[in-house]
Amino acid sequence: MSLFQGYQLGLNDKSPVILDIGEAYTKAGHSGAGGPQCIIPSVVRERSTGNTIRIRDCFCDTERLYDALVEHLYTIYFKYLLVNPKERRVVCVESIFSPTDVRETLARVLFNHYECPSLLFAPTHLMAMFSLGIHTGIVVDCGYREILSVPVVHGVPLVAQSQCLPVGAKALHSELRMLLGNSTVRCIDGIERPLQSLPNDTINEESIEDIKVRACFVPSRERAESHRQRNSDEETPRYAPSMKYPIDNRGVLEIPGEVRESLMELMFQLDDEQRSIATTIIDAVLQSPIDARKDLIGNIVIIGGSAMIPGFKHRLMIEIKYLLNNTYNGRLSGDLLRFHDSPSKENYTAWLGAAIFCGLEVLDLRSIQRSQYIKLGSVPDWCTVTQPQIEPILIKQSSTTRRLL
Amino acid sequence: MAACLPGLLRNIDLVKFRCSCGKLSPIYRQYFCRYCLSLRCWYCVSHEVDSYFCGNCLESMPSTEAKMKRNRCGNCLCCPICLHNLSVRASSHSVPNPADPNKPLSKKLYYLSCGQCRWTTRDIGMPDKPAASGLWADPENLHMSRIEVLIEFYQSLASIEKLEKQRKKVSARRRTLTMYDRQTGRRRSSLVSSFSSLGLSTSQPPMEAPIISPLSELPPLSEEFYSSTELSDSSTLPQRHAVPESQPPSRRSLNPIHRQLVLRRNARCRGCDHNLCKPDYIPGSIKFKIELLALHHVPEVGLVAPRNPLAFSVESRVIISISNPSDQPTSLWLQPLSNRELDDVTATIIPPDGELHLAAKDDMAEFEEPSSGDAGTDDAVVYRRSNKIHVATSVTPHKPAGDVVVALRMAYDYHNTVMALQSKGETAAKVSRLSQTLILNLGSVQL
Repeated sequence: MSLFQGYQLGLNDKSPVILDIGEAYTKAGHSGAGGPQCIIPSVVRERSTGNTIRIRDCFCDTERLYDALVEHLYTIYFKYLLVNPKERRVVCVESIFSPTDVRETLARVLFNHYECPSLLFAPTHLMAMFSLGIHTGIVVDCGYREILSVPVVHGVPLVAQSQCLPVGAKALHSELRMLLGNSTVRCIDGIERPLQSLPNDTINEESIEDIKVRACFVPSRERAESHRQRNSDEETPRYAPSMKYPIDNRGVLEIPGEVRESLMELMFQLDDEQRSIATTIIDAVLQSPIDARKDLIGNIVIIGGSAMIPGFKHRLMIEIKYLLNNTYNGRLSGDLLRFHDSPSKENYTAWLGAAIFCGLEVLDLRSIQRSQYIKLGSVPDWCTVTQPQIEPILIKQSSTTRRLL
Repeated sequence: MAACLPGLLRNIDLVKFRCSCGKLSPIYRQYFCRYCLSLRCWYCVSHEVDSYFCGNCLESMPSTEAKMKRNRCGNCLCCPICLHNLSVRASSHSVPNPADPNKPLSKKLYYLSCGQCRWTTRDIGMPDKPAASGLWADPENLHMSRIEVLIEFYQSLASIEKLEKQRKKVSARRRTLTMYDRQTGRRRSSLVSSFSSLGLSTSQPPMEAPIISPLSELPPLSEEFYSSTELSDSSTLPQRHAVPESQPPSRRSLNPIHRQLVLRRNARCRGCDHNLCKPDYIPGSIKFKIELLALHHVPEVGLVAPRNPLAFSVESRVIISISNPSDQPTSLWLQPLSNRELDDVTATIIPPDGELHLAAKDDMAEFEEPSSGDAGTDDAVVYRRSNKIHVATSVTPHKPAGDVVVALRMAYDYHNTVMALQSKGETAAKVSRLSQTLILNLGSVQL
């Protein structure tokens, strides 16, 4: 980055810290930068036991979550961001659907332990819009736990119309583990054994994720269909060639081409309830107000790490078009389909949106100040009516109305 | 001392002190505040940034420069594969001499190479540079110009919003202000500024949203995926995450990464805001400007014997060592703690009654002959050497399984040197009686 670019973007001495604590990875950085300073796994090593745990696993136990968040934020602040927590305002990007307990605990950690001056909870899907400059669209978040399609109309996320499919990276990992059960491993002693005969800890979670990222891809719809519908007496279909994957100190695993191609079908094939990623998007649009549907289907934003697998976005487009023409019987025209390309990689689009929004002066109007938190004792939730709200300002532009949200 | 060392090395978590916030941690990880006279652990100390430096070249950096360079060192580069340091290697190439075409000149060209994984800049196709440093280009974020336009657009909307808010505030106050004006007949400057800001807003048309029209067709998967077999061509997730803005899927696009800076931390007591730990300015120095570690102020307790597991319901002899960190002799009292106060105590301990004397810490003691104890004879003391004593206690585990955990309260005289300095009249240091709670883990019960 050139020397003066920082000043231009408002990367001044007191630019706020943007945190996106996801279930699998945490993205953290300074406002005004083009990308996060670090993308690290959301795991901590507990001081009391010495074990490495996922922060998500502590969600039920508030005290344990508090300690885990203290540790995690310590690493983020003092190893990657290198700033004093007391001096920087914080913006936390998180989904509207995250539990209130978790939000309260995070606020407690940031205000009581780290003494931040102010805090803002920014909804993920709304922030994704900020990275594009649009105000209406449907945001498809392909995360670790689930796929969440949230329609946003004029800056308001439609909560009741959001659709969710519990097929995320977590489901892909367990499916991959099952599919690889029969694959052969050429062990150190030269003998080839199937993976399921070896001890369970032969392949750990990081290796499974590595295989998914480096070996798997999403084939085209015709190819996937032809594999699915072949008869058993036909010749064996042409799959992609198998890949050799070395496992530390144990041997070399041979990943069959069939697994490489068919893993992602979990997301695109219709399940027992006739749902897939494509149906969540179409259903979310069809449940939204009728006048917004054209704008929604014409502004599809895909975010989340799982969307970075090669071939994902193209296949998603083909699947939506196919379903619109066949199952949905032309209730929506497939010609209206438009996809946005955000100026970031998909796994930090929401972070970037927050970084753009929170560099503005109006951050203070929307944040909770530390003095306010100490008086109130808790942070206002999205559906709170009893606590004083921070009012959004409507800005009128001559003929059309634009809103800063 | 030599007899204690294996005991200490075994596990530093055996003896834990209860800090003022209630959490348990070994004494080696705690600080001691001389002003509040209490232990502070990692949780109840507020950590602050002191200075930045590069871990490789030990160059200290001011905070503004660190911010400009995004917390990276300008000179040191790391291998993108294994994040080890890259060293500059020279190779000589022959270049045609412009003066004499028959005699080729040999010119030195430099490339970067990793000592750990043998990666070089030639692997990614980067040409060798004529200078050793300064020419290793950083790839720019391609989206930066688009992001800048978006930021400008939102800044224009934000300034309009701010003006609106100001106008609302001023119009709410305008009534009272005009009444005041009738009395004085003078125009206040705030009214003038509000009018001028209104003028500004009407003259500035709002910017057009810089939206790039969305795509109707997305590019399909390239054919090479259907025929690729080499795993080593693609980068792993941690390698991609080390460069968040580019995250290249191919190993051939991984450029050298600038080394992340390291932080020097201050630790500050939350109770009285005094600094407990402040490092030296020079990054290479391991000394501290202020170092208030618990180890230097609180007697250190360790386990000496037994080495074997204790048996259930059997009263066993346990020897603990206590050493005095200060340069004044101190007195110590040990009392057992009742079970009501602590939940996880699984054994009872009967420590020696009465006062235990400890000699002052003498740095020359290790070079001198061991002298007979001049701090008096106490019955329970099994072994004594300079500032360290071993005392015998008896422990009875009353749970048949699990770890044997005992709790003790240790009261001792603390000589406070900082208070003596502050009150100029007194020469003797102020002595205060402090007490700490200890939890000792004596291993699992013999089954």
